[in-house]
Amino acid sequence: MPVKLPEEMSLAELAEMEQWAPDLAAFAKLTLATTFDQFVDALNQDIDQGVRLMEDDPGVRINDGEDRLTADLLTFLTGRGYDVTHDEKIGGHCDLVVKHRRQSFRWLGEAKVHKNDYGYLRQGFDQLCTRYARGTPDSPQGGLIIYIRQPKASSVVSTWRSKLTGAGLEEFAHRDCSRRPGLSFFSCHTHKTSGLPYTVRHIGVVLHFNPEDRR
Amino acid sequence: MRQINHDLGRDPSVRAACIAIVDYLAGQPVQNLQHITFGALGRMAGTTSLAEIMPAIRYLTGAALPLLDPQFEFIDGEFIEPLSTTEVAEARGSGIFYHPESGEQVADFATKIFMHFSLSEEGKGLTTCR
Repeated sequence: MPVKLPEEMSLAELAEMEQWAPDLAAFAKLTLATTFDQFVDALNQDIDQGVRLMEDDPGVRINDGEDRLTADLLTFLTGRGYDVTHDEKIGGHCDLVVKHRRQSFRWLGEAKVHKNDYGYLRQGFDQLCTRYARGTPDSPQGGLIIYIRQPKASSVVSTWRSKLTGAGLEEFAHRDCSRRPGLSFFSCHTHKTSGLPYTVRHIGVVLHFNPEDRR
Repeated sequence: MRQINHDLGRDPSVRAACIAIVDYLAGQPVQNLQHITFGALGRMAGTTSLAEIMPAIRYLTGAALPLLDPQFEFIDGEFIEPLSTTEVAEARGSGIFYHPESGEQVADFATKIFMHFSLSEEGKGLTTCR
C-alpha cells in the first residue's frame, strides 16, 4: 500500500506509518537508538534489503570475489546513512565495519564465499570473533556473511550450523532468524577476550545461478 | 554532487532525489532551512510518496553526507519546546513524557511531539559555497 507523504509527522503518525514503510521504520530506529539492540535491529533489516538486491541479480556477480560482493553491500548501507568501511584495521582488516552516526555502537562483519569448505567458514568465524571483535558492550554482535554459489543454499547454512554447534565453543547457543528463515541464524558464545556473550548473525546469501532454459 | 554520484550511482531514483534536494537547499538562505518538514523535502524531490523520499532522507541525514539533522518539538497549543533525540527516545521507549513547563505527565504525548529537519553544520557549507 503506497503511503502518502505527510507535511508534519508526529510520533504517533511515525509509529503508525512504520508498519507500511520499512525505510521509515529503520530511520526511526536508528535516529532514536539508545541501545545496541535497537541499532542492530535496524541494521539487520537494511542488510537483508541489500542482500535481496544482490540475490535479485546473481548473474552479474558470477565472477565476483568476496571483496567485490562486500563492496555492493557497503555501497547499499552507505546509501542508507550508515558510517561503513571496508578493510578497516581493527585487529586486522575487517571486511565490514558499520558504526552508528551518533552513538559508539559498532558492528563488524566478515564475509566468505563458500567453496564447499566449512573450515574456510570456521576461519571467517574465528577471524571475526578472535581477531576483530573485542566483544565489548558497544560491540556485542557481528555477522558472518556467507556468499553461496552452490544450489540448495539452505543446506549449506544448515550444515554450517551443525558444524558450529559441535565446535566446543563456551556457553554456545543458537537460534533461528525469523527474518530469513532457513538462510540465516544466530549463534551466541562467550567471547574469549571480553568474557561477555557475543552474538553472531550468520547470513547466507543465495547467489547460485545456473539457468536451464538455454541448454 | 561528486559524493552523491559515488555513493548512489547504482540507485538512480535516490540519487536524483538527493541532487534535487541539495540543489534546493544550496539556493536558500540558511535562516530559511531550520524547519524543513517531510512534505517540504518531498516537494524539493518532486514526490508525494513516503517510500520514495525516505531513502533520500536517510542518506542526507546519514554519515556520508550529513546535510540534515533530525529535530523534534513538543507542541501543545501555543507552547513549543525543542526536544533532544535522547528525550524523545526515552519517551518512546518508556511511554512516559512529562510536560517541559508544567512537569505533569502528558498522556497523549505521541500526538504532540513532531519531527522535522534542519540544515546541519555541514549543510551550512552548501549555502556559503555559492
